[in-house]
Amino acid sequence: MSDTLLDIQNLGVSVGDDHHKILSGVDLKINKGEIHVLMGPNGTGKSTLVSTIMGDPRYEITSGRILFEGKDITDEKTDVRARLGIFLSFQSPEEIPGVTVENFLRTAKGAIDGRPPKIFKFEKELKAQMEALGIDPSYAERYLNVGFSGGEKKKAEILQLLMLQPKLALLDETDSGLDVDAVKTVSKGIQNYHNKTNSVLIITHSAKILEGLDIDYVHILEKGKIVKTGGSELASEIIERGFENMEKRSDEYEKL
Amino acid sequence: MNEQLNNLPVLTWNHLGVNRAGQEFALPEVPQLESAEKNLTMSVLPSTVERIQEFPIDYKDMESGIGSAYDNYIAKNSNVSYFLKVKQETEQTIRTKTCITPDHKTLAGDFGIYAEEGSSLVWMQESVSDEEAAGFSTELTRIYAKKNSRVRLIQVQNLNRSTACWNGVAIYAEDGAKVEVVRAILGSSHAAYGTRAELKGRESSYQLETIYFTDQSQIYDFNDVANHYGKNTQTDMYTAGVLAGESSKILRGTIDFKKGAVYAVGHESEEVLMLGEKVRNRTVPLILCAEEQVEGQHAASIGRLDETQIYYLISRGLTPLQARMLLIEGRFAPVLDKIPDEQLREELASQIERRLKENEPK
Amino acid sequence: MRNFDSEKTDVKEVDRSVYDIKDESHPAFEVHSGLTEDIVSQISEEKHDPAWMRVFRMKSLELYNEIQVPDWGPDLDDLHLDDIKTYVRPDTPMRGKWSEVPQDIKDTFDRLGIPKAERKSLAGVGAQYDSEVVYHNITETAAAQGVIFTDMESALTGPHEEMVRKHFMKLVPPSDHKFAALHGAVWSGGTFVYVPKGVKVEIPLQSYFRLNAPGAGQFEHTLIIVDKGAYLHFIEGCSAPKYNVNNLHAGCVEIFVGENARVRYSTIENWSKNMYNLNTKRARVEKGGSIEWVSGSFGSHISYLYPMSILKGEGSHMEFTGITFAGNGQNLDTGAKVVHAAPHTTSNITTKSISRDGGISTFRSSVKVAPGAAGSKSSVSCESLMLDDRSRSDTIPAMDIQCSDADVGHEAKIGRISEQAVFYLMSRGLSEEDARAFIVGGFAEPIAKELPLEYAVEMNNLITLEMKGSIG
Repeated sequence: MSDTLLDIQNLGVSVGDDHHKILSGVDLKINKGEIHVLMGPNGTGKSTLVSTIMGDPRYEITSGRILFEGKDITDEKTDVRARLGIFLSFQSPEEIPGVTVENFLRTAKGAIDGRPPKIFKFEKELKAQMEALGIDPSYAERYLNVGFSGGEKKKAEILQLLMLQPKLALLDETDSGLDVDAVKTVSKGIQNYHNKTNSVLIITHSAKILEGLDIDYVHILEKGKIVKTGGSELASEIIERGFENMEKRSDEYEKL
Repeated sequence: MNEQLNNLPVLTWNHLGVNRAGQEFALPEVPQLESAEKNLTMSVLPSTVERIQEFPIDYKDMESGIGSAYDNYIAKNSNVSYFLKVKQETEQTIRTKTCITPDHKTLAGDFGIYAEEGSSLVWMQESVSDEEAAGFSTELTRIYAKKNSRVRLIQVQNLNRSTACWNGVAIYAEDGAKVEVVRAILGSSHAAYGTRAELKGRESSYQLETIYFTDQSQIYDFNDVANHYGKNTQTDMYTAGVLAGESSKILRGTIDFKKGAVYAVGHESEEVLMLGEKVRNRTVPLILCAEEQVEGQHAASIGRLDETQIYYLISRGLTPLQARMLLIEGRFAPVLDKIPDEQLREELASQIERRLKENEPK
Repeated sequence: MRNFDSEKTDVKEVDRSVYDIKDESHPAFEVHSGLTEDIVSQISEEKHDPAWMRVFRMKSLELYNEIQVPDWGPDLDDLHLDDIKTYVRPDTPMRGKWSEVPQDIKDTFDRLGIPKAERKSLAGVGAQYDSEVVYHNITETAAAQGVIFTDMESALTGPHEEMVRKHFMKLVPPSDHKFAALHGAVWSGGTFVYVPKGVKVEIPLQSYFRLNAPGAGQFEHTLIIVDKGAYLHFIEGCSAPKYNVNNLHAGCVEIFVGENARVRYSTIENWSKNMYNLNTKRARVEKGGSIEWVSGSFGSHISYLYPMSILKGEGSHMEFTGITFAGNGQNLDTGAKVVHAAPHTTSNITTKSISRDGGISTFRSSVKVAPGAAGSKSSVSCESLMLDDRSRSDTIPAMDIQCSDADVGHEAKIGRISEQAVFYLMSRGLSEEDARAFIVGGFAEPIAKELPLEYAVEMNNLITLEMKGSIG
């Protein structure tokens, strides 16, 4: 049985009425148990990539395909992808008035597992995870993301990750807006989630969230393409020296 | 005459008295058909603008906010007319001024702008009167904005307290056209204002900004309508005013999303400051909607100024009066800033300041 | 590109079969259609009205003939008043115990879940079936506290006659509008409630209507008087089977809230889709008192419904929370009215409305602040959700402020279900249909949480059924 969880082949993506091209020819393979990091200057298409993997209808796939556990999901609806085991932690999570965090999680878990969770077990688990993430227990009764600060929204996304236990976690700048302690907590949450059979793709600009994580690959996305792939040391290099140098070097790389 | 003026697009309870303008707005007889052109001052026109004899669009094809009965009245009775055709983008602001004088007390003005594709124009209309004249000023301005044209109409009304005023505007916007109407209304015994914009073309937009100040026994009656037909059309209506003395005002603001006006956006907001025991404010902000994919919002805030804002300003050293003035000026700024004549701006600002001081609660 | 728009949920007619069970009509006494002096006279006699009520009915009939049908609001042309039988009384005289009520009538209420609700700790149920109060009960505790909960006919001729006479149609006079005049002439059945000083009625009192005979109108009158410092929660819910002939509901609710008293009035209106619902509800609140309206409008063909509150006493308060869901063939014109007639009064109106499948939903409001209502505050918030481009949603609010020392705020929003929100929920495994139902349920939640549990459940079920368009 193949170890490949996610296989993106030559993916081209455009957006809007004028079909503005964002991604062209992206190739990416993630195997089970791996942690990948995606970095790049703002606006190059990192969010677009993970949104497209999730099936965001705003984006149009102009070329290539997406395979999940060997199955072609390029045309699948979002909820089908979710039930197959893909999870996206949103950069700007939506506010859903009138729906409590607990009610929502219970419904989502039921949708993904195919049957409603046992109440007692679910509530116990929810309480434990909220505590581990430092989220006030009263938030379970609050309407999903309504009035939450940026940091609280991000933590709530990780709470969902831990409760839903997907096979592939796509984390879109989960650390932005969080204070130092919160980043540590979230990082721990990711560590708790990660094991030999599931995988993570993290979009980030900072090193803090990566501390304590066993990074397998770091990819640089620039101008709609992955221009460089390296090991975890690549991340530290970018963070210290920025992308400018990278661009020069990647050009050199391509010349070879 | 009992024409129906400033009709609310969808009727509501009659006891509120807002379904149409009151009896005090019955239109006057226009005594002579002699031209009142000498009461009209106009600036010299640049080469991109041409004065034309007849407006190319019929009255019945462009209805003002006051209503077709009013438009017909102007069609029949106008004693001064001024129609402009704009051919290209125009830097210079065109200015006109109508004046009510003792020998020409009833002025019925028929005005219009026909903006060709891609052209632009700013036109400021001032409405004034001689101290001794007690008259009537009725005006209609039609704006036909062809593709991608931009028109800004600024209206400043500073008539004396024995003169009554009616002012209708009818707007038709083609694809990509942007029309802006800016109104500063301070005078007259009573005034009826009605604008209606037909946003037919896709991505056309309409902005309406109004400031007013009433005191003593002034009565103002507004009927502003924006009809969205085209896709991605946008309306922004902003009104800020002060009611003092024994004055009263009715503002009807309607945003109507017709079926097919996909992705249209409409915002309406009103801020009213009420001073004194005897004022009366009526506000009717309508949103009518037959299209799912739109965004419509309106907000109205009526009554007093925000205490926390006043406190903040006082904590920075202003007196309570200075703080209030500052907040009110802030509300009026969006309109005053658009008046392209510094002296006029100053005059209006000091009039407002003086009237505020006169009417401040003791 | 996949597009949510191309796969919109097409919602079908909600399954109303549980509400549409018709009994064959066996009326013991039927008035011939149309409205004449003779008919009003007949009604008065049959009910053994006291003399003053008979006179009152006649005066109302005069007003009815004078006043015009309103020139605003949904079209009433198809309502042929002459065809409406005004009075139908089923075969049974009033019963004290549920077990003694005739079986078919009991069956109807059984199917609609009334006895269960009664068993579940409600204080008492008055059930109306075709113009007469069939069954009445009141538990001992409420009665021991001195709470009077009886049908209007008994109240009219019993020991409370004076109190009723003092209050009857004083808040909604027959001269108010045509259907108030009609009500004054032919009213029949209804509930009278009196809560004495300081008494807090812990469990909600509930009344349930049903309209059965084809063409019959409902003109029930509810009169509630809550004395100083007392508390009452009253629940009204109703249903009717579907008929071809127009059905008219021109009831009237009058609520007198005493000093520092508190009244909550909850309604879920689920009349079937041929009903004309022209109900008038009004409350008057004395010093320090408060009235809370909770209202869910789902049924009827045409509705004119604007509970009105008169804040007469200093510091009095009004709260209105409502939801309206207009589907195919419905034109629901609903909202609220409030008059601030004293200093330091406050009001909050929060409404939500949903339109789908060609339905028309109109929010109409009136906020009046009288001169002298210094220090008053009012805020109105209405939000409308359109679920497709075949429907309509109109917002017609009006404010008339005559006091400068008052704060009045208003905001309205209209839009559609956010596609990003749908995507977010789908990314957590919900199907598109479920995601939309969730969002609409969430939209209605502020109202649902104000209702007692079984009503909230009924409301959520109604919404889910409407959203999913599938048979239950």
